[in-house]
Amino acid sequence: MAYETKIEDGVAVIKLSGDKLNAANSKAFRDALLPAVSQGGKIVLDLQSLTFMDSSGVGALLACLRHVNEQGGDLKLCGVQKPVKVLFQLVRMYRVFDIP
Amino acid sequence: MSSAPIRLPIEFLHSAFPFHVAVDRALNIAQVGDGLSRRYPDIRAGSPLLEHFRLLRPRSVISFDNLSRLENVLLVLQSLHDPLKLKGAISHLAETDLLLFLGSPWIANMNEAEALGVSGGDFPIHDSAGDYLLSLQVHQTALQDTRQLAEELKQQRSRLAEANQQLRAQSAQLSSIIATAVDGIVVVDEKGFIDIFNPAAEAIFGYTADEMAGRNISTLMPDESRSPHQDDVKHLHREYRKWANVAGDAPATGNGLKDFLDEYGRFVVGKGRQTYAQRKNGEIFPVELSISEMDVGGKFKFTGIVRDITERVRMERELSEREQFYSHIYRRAPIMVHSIDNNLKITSVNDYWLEVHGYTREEVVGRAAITLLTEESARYAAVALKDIHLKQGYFNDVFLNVVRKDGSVMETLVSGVAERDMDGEVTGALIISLDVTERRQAERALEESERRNRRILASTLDAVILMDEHGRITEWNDRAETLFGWSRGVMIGQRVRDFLIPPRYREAHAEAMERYLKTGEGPILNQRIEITALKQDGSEFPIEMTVSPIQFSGKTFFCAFIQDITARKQEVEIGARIQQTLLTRRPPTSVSGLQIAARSTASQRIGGDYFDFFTFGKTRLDLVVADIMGKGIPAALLGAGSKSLFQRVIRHLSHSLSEFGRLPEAREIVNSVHKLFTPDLINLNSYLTLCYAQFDIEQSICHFVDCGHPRVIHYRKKTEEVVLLNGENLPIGFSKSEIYTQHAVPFESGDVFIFYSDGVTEALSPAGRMLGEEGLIDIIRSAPSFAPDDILERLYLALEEFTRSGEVSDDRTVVVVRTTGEKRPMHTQRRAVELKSDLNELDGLVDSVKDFCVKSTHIRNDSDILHEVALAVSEAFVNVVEHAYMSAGSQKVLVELEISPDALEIQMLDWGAPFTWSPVYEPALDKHQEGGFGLYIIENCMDRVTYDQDGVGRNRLILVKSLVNLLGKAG
Repeated sequence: MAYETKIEDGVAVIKLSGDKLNAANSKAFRDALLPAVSQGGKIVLDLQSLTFMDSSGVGALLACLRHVNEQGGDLKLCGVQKPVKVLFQLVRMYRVFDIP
Repeated sequence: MSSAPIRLPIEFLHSAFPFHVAVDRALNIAQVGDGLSRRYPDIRAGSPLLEHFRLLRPRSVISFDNLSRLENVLLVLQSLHDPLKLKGAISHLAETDLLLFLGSPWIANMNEAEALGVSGGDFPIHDSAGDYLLSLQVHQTALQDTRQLAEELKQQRSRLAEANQQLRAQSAQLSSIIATAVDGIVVVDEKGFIDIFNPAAEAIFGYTADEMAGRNISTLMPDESRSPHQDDVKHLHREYRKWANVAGDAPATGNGLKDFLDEYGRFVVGKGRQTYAQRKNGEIFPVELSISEMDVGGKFKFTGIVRDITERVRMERELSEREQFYSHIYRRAPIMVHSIDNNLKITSVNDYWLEVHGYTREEVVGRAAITLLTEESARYAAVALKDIHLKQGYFNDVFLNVVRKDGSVMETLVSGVAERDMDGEVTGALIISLDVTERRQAERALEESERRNRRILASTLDAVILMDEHGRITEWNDRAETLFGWSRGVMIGQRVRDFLIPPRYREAHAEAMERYLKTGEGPILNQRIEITALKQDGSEFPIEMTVSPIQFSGKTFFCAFIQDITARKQEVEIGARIQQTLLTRRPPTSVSGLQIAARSTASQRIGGDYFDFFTFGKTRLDLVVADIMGKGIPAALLGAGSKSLFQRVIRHLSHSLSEFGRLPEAREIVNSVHKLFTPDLINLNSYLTLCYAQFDIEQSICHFVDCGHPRVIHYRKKTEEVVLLNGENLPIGFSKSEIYTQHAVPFESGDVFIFYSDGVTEALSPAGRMLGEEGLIDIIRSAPSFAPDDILERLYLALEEFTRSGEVSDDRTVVVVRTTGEKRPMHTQRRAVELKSDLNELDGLVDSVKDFCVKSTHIRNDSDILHEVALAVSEAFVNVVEHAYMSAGSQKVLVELEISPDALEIQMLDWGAPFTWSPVYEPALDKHQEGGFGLYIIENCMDRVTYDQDGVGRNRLILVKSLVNLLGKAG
């Protein structure tokens, strides 16, 4: 999955460009994103483009979060669309992620 | 006396009267004789008479006058100093006026005189006492001599008597010795004529003593030695005469003969000569002869002591033969014999030893015996040989390996015994060895076979325990070790009771053993029984055991084959679960217009009852309720077999009849199963009753085939009547020629059909009353509603109440089917999507599902529903790909979509690994969990989710999204 990263006020904003994050691409997503978040620091993932996410996408996000936390950084999500929000609610993602 | 007085010179007076004494008027002594004064120095002139004497005779008081008057009277004076008495006469000497007593000692014999110290000189020469005394002396001497002689005589006499007695005793002894002597005693005179011939001689020679009296000794000699003997005797006599002449006179005296014999007769006299004698019966036999000479009153006799040594000679001969034999054995017998000295050096070997060992005698004699043994045996032998020198003096049966000259090893069984010298000191040992190589090989073969047997025992899956009639263990195989945890070494000899039987059963065990030994009754023998046993760790476990009594060596043993059936019990447990979950799986819900509830309970966890459902599209449901004869695993196996057979037959017939554009009928299915199964059932001696019912929703008809099964209850809602559906077919497995027929029963909405096994109607109350069909119908009528679940629940509770027991004595199966009158909805749309088990198919699948839904008038574009369905389908597909197929990418996944106004149903079918649809929990979301949300998401996105295996083994996941609320919402 393609993404672009911008630094704004010391915060790395990573903007995803695909519309689905599911079992078909979650592994690739994770592999691509982990180097970008491995320095830690403050990171915001912009999920604006995502209209579908499944449990494997959730797993990928959790993997990133753990990685960032291990480096002493912080990962936040933004631009969560309704279908994804429904999923997040289903699996209680709000317990571990700050979802605006 | 007036004549001229005689004057005596005083000296004369003294010598004539040594015992005189003269006293004056005052009775004082005037003069005393020498004899008196010598004897009594106190009696001297001047001393008073009365101090020394008293008058013994006549009895009178001494006074001058009295004494004066006693002239011419015999006076006896008694000395006051000692027993001496003096006898004499008294005279008055007028001239000097003195009284003169002339006396002498008064004695009766010489002894008295001696005692009194008087001698002949003390008497006056005229006194007769002197002569008397002399004659007395002579007499006494003679008497003394005589006495002495008499004494001697007496002693001699007694000695003689004693001697005679001794002699007699000796003689008696001698004769009794002669009479009882074991040896023959023959006494002959110098010419050889027999004097004495004792009983032993009689016995030896066969002559009586009388017969032999006076006969010549030569009678007892064999012919050939008789004349030489006589010659000898003659020669001896000649020699004797010659000798006697040479020796001079006295030819017949003992000493002379003895001397002669000493010189010439050595060949006659002597001990232990061996010769031959002849019995009366002519038999010549060996004797040992001792001859001695004796001198009896100047005559010479020869005593011959004869011992019959026939037996001894025979024994000696035998002994010598035996010795030869032994020596032959030693040399030649096939027993290896060798002797060793105290340094263990070989001193001798026999031929056979050499032959077997391959050595020559020169090579081994002098060599240390131990060097012929293998190293191990040499050490062993050294120990054994110690016994020779120590306590025992022998060793027995020691196995030693000997190296032959050619290097081959021979196994020998060796025994040895100490050889000793005269003082009992061990000088070496005689060693006997046997070649036991073959025997040992045979023994080893036997051991091997025994080991093999034990291995067989060991490798049996059963623990095998042998015990004797006292319950003591005599055999215990490896399996028993692993089963019970006790080793063979520990258990051999132990009582089964103490180790393997839980304490509460021990008494019963002891009683059973005792009863069997007493009566031969053993109810548990020779059959498989399930009991509880005790392990080494104290835990109990279930075993299956067969105990058989076996007899050998006249004793009874019990052989037990034991299996741990813990696993089997667990299998039964698993089997029961499988029966509950898969074999009697949840009734299908895919056929509309039918509500179904079913339950089967088994008396032994696995039952012979089963039910199964077969769906044909949305409008037909077939069900089979069967009861296999018997219970337990065999029945369950037959049940499973018949069940799979139904599935196979249905599949096959469905395929085959599709050519005819129709589905198989109930009777066709049952007849096919019957044709295929009955021969097997007949072989297995079993059968099954069943009811096959086919519900055709479109036609509202139930076709049923009854095969000897309890009658189906049909509750007709419209009339509220209960009808029992009769069939007339035989159970399957009864007859190969049976043709099964079916009946058609129309139904209406709300009708209820109840299928059950006979375990239900045959349930017994504690009083023994059977529930029966009527009882069952009553229960059903009392159900709170006619919903199948309610009926089922009510039925089971009522059964429990009726039997007053939670235990099921028989398998019970109940299937309740209620028709709802619901028809297959109109306007149903369907789509089937075939996918590869590849995540790359995921987008396509989600798109297809969305597309199907969007095109349906029932959902249109409800984004929430679309999203939830897409999410569920997506998760389900990922689950199949990753778990059922374990990411093997080229397998098939079939997705069937069907939408009606009521619901969207998605079936996902795969052939992958079955999935355990465990209860789904809310994810324990923390930062560590990255997966496992799938099932949770599916269940939360859909209204109903079922997962099972369909009739052809596929995993079937059915996801249903109800659209009723949506309609309501829309409306």
